[in-house]
Amino acid sequence: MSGVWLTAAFLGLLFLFLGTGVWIGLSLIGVSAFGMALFTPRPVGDAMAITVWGMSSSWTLTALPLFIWMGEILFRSKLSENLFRGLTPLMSRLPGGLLHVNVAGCAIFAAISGSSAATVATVGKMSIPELRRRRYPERMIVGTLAGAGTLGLLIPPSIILIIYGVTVNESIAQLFIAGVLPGIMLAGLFMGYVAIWGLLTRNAGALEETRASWQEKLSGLWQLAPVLLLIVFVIGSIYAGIATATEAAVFGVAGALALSALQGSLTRKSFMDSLLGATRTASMIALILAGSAFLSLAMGFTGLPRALATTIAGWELSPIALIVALTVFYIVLGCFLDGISAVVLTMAVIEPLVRSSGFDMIWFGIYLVVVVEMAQITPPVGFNLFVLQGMTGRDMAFIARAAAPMFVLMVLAVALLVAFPDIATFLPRQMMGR
Amino acid sequence: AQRWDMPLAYPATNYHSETAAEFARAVTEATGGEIEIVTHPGGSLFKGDEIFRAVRTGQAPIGERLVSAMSNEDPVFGVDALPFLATSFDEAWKLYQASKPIMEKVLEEKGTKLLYAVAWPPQGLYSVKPIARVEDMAGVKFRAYNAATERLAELMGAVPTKIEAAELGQAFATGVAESMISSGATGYDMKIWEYVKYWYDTQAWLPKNIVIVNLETWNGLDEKTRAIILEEAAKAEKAGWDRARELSDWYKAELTRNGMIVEPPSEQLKAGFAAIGETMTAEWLATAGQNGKAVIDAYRK
Amino acid sequence: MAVFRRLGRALDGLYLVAGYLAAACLAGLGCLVLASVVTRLMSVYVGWLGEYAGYAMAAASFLAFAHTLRSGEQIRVGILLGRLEGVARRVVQLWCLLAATAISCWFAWYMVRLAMTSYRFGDRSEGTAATLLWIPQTPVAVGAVILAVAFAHSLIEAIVLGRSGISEPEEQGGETATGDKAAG
Ligand code: NA
Ligand code: NA
Repeated sequence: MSGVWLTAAFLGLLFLFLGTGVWIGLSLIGVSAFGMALFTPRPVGDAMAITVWGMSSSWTLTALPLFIWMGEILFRSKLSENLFRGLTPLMSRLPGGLLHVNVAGCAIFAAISGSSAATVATVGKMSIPELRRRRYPERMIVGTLAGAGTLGLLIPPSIILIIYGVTVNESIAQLFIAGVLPGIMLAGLFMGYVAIWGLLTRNAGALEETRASWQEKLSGLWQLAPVLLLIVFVIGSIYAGIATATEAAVFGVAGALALSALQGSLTRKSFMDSLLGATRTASMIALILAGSAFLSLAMGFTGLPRALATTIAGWELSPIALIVALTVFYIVLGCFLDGISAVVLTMAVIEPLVRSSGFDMIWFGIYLVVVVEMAQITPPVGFNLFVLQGMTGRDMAFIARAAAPMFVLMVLAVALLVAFPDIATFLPRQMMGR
Repeated sequence: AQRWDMPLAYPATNYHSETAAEFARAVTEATGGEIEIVTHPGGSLFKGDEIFRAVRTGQAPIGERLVSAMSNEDPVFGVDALPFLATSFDEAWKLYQASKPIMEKVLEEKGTKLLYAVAWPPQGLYSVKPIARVEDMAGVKFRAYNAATERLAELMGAVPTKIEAAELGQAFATGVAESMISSGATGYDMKIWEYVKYWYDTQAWLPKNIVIVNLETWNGLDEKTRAIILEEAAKAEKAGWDRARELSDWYKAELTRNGMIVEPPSEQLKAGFAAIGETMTAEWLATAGQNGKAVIDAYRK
Repeated sequence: MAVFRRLGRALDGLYLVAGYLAAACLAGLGCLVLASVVTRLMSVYVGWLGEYAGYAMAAASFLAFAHTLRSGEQIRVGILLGRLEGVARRVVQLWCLLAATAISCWFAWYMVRLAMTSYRFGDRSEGTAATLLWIPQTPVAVGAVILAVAFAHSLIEAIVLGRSGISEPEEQGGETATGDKAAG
C-alpha cells in the first residue's frame, strides 16, 4: 500500500531531521509541511499559520510562561536553597535522600499546575542546581524529574482531563477526583524506585545526608515555611474562588516576587534576569509547541491516527486484549504526538469501542492519562525530555535513557490500574454516593 | 474526485456533528465518490474560532461554525443570539428564513456559500439560587462571554463575570460564577447539576450552527454536483432541526432526572426579560444598519 | 569583511532588542492576568483581558525566538554533532543551518501572509474586543522574520567565518552550564 510507504517516508524524514540536529521546532515544522503536502492538495502554509497562531495565542496556555517565570524567580532567591536546607533533615534517613524532593516537589506542584512542562520546568529550576551541588548522579536527577513531571497531568487540575471530559461527555469534577489516588500511587512508585535505588547503589551511602535531630527537623520545617506558604497561596486562590486555575499562575509570580523581596534577594538585576530567563525558556517551548501543533494538524489531514484506531476497532478484541492493544497504540502514537493531540485525534473512534466493551469512562480517562503521560518522556517527540534538555544541556539520548525506568514504572501503574480499577473509581463513587 | 476535509468544533457524539457526519456520507454516496467529505470532529483539525477563517481562505473546503460567534465579522450574524427576540423553535425557524437571504449575501461577500443551518436547543437561565423576577438577578455573578451577554447582565443588574468555556465547571464549583444563560445541552455536557440547582426554560434565544463551503471551491463544481449537494444539505437541515426539537425535551428530562429544578420562568420574570429583549433588539438595530432592519422587518411581517 | 562584522553586530543588537520587547510582553502578560483577577474581585467586567493575555504570550514567544536561538537555548538533538569531528562535523553543521534557514524562511513567509490576509479581510477576533487580528499578528510575523534572519545570519557566519554565532550543543554539556547563562 502506498499509504504505508508514505508513512514510512514521513517518519524517516522526522528521524533524519531530528537526528542530524536540526532545531526541534523547525524539524517538526519542516516534516509536517512535507507530510501534509503528500497527503492533501490543500495549501499547506496558510493552514500551518492559522494553527500556529491559534496555539501560540491561546488563553489556556498563558499559565505556562507565568509558572516558568515563577520558577526563575524562586531559583534566584534564597527560597530554593531554603527548600533544600529544610528538606535535608526531613529526608536524610530515607534511602535515596534528596532525590525524593524531585518527586514530592512535582507532586505538590502538580496540584497547582495543569501541565507537565510547567511542572518539570518549575521544580527542575530549583532542584537541579542543588542536587548537582550535592553530587547526586545526573541520571537519577533527570530521570526522576522527567517521570514525576508527568504527575502534572494526573493530579488535578489537569488540562488533558478537561479535554477528555468534554470530548466523551463525562464529569470533569469526577475525573479530577479520580486522578488523585492514581497520582499519589504513581508518586509512590517513583519514590519507591528512588528508595530501592538508594539501598542497592554501592556509593549511595556517600550521599546519605547526616542524621538529624528533632531540633534540626523543626528548624527544617521553618525553612520550608515560605515555599509551603507560596503553594498554599496559589492553591488557595483557586479553591477560594478568587482565581481560575489558569489565573492562579500569576499569584505564583506575585507571591514569589513578594517572598524574594522580603528576603532581600529581589534586586533590579535579579528581576530582569528572571524575566529574561523565563522569556527564553518560554520561547524555546513555544517554538516546539508551534511545531507540534502543526504536526498534529498534518496528522489530522493524513488521517493516520484515526486509520490505526479504526484498524484496532476492526479486530473485535476482548476487553483485556483491547486495553493491551490500546496501550501499545497510544505508546506508539505518543512517540510522535503530545498526549492532548493523541486524545483529540483518536477519541471519535476509540470512545464507542471502549463504551461498547463496558468500561467505566471515568476509569478509562485516568487510564488514558497515565498512558499518554508516557508520551511526555518517549523520544523523539517528548516534551519533558525537551524541557530537561533545555535545562541541563544534556543530550536527548542521555535524558531519554535516564527516563526509561520511569517509563517502566508507568507501565506498571497501568497494570495496577487494570488489576485494581478501584484505585481510580473509589473516590468518584464516594462523591456520587453522598 | 475531490476530498473535502470538514473541521467540526464539537465532539463526535454531539448531534450537530452527527448530522454533519450523515451529510458527509450522503454527499459522498450521492456523488458516487466524486466529492468525498471527511469530517474531523472535536476541533481535531481546526479549533472552533479558526474554522471560518480556514474555510474562507480555502484551507478547509467546508466547515461548521456557531454563526453568532462571527458577529464581529458582521452584526447580522448575531441576530439569532438576540435575547428574547425569537423564543421557540418555530420562531427561530421564522427568524432563520427572514435572515437567510441577507446572511447568504454577506457570507458570499466573505468568500463562502451557506449550505445549511441547524439550531441549538433554546437557551435557559442557570442559577444556583431561585429566580422569580429579574430583580432577583441583582448582584448575581453572571457568566458573560461576549459583548451581548455582558450587556444582558448589565440590564439584569447582574455582575458580568468573564469565564472561559474550559473553566466553567470549576468556576461554578468555587463560586466564581453563580449564573449563566445557556442551552440544556451545555448543562448536560458539563454535568452542571453537580454545582447548579435551577434551570429556567426562558427560551432566551436559539443560536445556530451553519455549514459553509468555500465559494471558489463551490463555483468550481458542475451544476449537477451542486444540485446534489444542495439537496443533501436540505435533508441534513431538516434532520438537524428535528433532532434539536427532540433533544431539547430530552435534555430537560435529563436535567430533572439528575436532581435539578427545571421550570418555566414566572410571568414576572418573563415580562422583565421581554423588556430587556426590546432594549437589546433596538440597540442591535442601531449597529446593524440596513441589513439588520431588513431582517427584523421580514421577521416581524 | 569590516562591513560584514558591522552588519553582524547590528543584527545581534536587533535580536537583543526584540528579546527585551518579548520580556516586556511577558511582564505585560502577568499584568493582564492579574488585572483579570482584580477586576473580577471588583465586579468590573473587562472582556478583552483574556484575549490580550493570549496576544501578549504570542508576542513574547515569537519576539524572543532569535535571541533565544543565539543564546544557544533553542534546543536540538546533539547526539550526532557531539560525536563528529573535522569535515564531517562541518558538513552536518552546515546542513542543519541550511535546513533551518530554509524552514524558518518558509515559516516566516506564511506568518507574514497570515497577518497580511487578516489585514486584507479585515478579520476580527470573536471576543468582546473585536480586535483587528492583523494587529496582534504583526509582532508574531516580525518575530518569525527575525528568527529567519538569525538563521540566515548564522549560516553565512558558518560559511564565511567557519563557525556560527550560536552556542553549540556540546559546549552546553557538563555540570557547569545549566542552560542558565544569565545566572552563571
Ligand atoms: Na495538575
Ligand atoms: Na513522546
